[in-house]
Amino acid sequence: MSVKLVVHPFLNDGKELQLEVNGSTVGECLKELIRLHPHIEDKLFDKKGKIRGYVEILVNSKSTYPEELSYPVKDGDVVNLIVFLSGG
Amino acid sequence: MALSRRIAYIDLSTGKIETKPIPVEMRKKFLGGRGLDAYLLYNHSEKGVDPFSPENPLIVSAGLLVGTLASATSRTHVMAKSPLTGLLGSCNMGGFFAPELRWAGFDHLVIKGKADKPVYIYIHNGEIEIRDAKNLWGKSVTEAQRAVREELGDPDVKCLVCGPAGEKLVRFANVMTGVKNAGGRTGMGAVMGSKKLKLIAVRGTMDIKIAYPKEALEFNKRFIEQITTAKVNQTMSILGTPFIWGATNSWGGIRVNNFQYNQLLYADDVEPERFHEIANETFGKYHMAGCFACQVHCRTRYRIPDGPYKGCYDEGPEYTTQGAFASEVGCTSALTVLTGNYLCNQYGVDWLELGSLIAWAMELYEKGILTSKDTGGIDLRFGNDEAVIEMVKHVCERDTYLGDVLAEGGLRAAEIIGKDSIKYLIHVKGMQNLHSDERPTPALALNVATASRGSDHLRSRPAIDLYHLPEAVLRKIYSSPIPYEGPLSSDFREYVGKAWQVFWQEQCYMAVDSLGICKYHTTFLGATLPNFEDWVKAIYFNTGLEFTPQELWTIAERCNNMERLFNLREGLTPDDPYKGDRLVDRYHDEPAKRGAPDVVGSYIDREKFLKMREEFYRYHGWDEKTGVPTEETLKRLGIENEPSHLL
Repeated sequence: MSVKLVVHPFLNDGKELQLEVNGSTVGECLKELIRLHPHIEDKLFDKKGKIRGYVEILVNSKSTYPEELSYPVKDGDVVNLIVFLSGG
Repeated sequence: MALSRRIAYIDLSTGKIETKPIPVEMRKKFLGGRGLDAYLLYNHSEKGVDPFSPENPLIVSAGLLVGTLASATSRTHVMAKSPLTGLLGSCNMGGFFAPELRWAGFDHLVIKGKADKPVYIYIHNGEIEIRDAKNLWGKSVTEAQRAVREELGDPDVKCLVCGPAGEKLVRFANVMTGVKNAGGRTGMGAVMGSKKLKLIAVRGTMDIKIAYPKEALEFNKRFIEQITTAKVNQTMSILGTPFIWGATNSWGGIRVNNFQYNQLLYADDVEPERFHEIANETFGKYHMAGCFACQVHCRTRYRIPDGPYKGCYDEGPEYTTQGAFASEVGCTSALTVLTGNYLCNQYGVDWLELGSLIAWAMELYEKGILTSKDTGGIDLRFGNDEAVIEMVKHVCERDTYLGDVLAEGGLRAAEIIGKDSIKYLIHVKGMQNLHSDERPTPALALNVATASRGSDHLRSRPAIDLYHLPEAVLRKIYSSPIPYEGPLSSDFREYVGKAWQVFWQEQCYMAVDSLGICKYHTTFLGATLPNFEDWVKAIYFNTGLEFTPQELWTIAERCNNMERLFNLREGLTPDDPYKGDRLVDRYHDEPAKRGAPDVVGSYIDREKFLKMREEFYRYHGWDEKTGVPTEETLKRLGIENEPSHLL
């Protein structure tokens, strides 16, 4: 299944990244993302393999928290990786 | 009734105390908290009043929903003319004081005059007394609260207090409650000190009648659901506000060495996870605490792990403390951050202002404008941890030349120091900037330039602009309750559409500051958190007052315009270098040097900034050039005849 991933510039050395990946869950999509762009892994996952606290994953503009990696996706979905960068 | 709480007028010069009900019509126009305070300040002060004179009213309040069945309603608001900026003085704090004030029968206190000796005010179940504070004067923030509880024989008394910094009229002294709940920015603690008012103690057991209790509780479940399922809050409940710092620093969005750089290197010891680790080791696993009626619990409890203050209990640090005692001053030690945090809490002083001023003094030292003769022999170079801690004490004690000069705030200090020192002062309206670097983010730059109390992140900051949210999410947030069909962009580097976001956030924050709700429960940091549509329901179920979301928005606009009228009366003009809605030259002339590729080289384009500011004024119904509300705007908001002296 083809899912569109939109990656926050922070996770990709300052440049927004958009790509099509395959998977039936968010976790599977991210696995493919990391395979294609391994430099993103450290910023996306902590040492225990969990999504970092400052990253939130949206599917079709809705938060996937707390499921995150196990959240199901289907063909045509848009997955946004947003980052709580702030100055607040 | 939630609307039955009274306003008290307390004159410390004469000892006269008068109380009145607050007419429902005033509630409908200004709600309570910050909104009604803005009306009271404009109506109870004369143009040009000296902030340290008895005629400067100190206004203390609880928001309209505080102490009801609505979540996150802990906020106390304090307002007066600022001794730091000469403009609006205003601060908002969590803790447990405001609910206790309401349970004691009062919503707003207007404190005028000046006592001839130190006093404190004791408020309990409808009664107000002015009492001798000679045993409290000189005590630290926590010692004073402990002493008054002992004197009154009641451990449940809640206090609003000024620390030694306020007593010594440090112009950016805080009002404090508890250990670290701070009413920071603009020096409201110094106004307390100038009145010889050490503390306000409250104790209340008077019920607040809720209009529709069953519905209020039921509705609040939805609030709690929204709050507890937002990831941003879950992260904050583990790491506190420092969680923002790590990613933002590695991106390049943190001011370093007084804004000469924008990323702190070798910062492992001041990363959020390090503070979490220290809190675990010194306080235990369950070290996070919350304010009244809060489900987030963002306040870290810890003991200082080492050094001369080893073992001392404290709470924090916050994102802003990391800036104040790490990046701004070029230090990379957790111990310095925690010690600076502790001292500021005990002295009752704004660490953000103080850290930034020390950083400014360090740059002046680096450039030879200040010498070791001025510093009293302190080697005030960036990265000198001991020098930072020494300077915190000297400013709060005002016991050295430089400490005393910095205690006057940046603009006055620059005038005393001279020699181009003003060129390196990073401020808006005479208040030091937060340590975030807003050069890559025009929306945030506009926010700090135009915030009503000077450079500030809590008055109109669209912090979510940096999240890179899908445009559909931005559209959903920013086109309600007032329709907006203009441009919105997920790109935080854009200038287009950002003025609307800042304008929107300004109404959002005014609404919650007037209701007494914490901003961590709004679209400040979370895109899915409660909003105007939710707040009108909470207002109705708890108080019986009925508003549409659009009407609530208009109330916020009215209150923001009252603050604008105050600032204009006290000398604000858009391009005034000291009191204007503008940024210092470094934002425009010195591009960011470090960080990610989308940060390096960024700066705020002057022309685009001015265009954005004009647009922002236009949304307000202010003249594009002068920033003055038009007659039509004042009439639309029903404040064309202010001051009206109705309360």
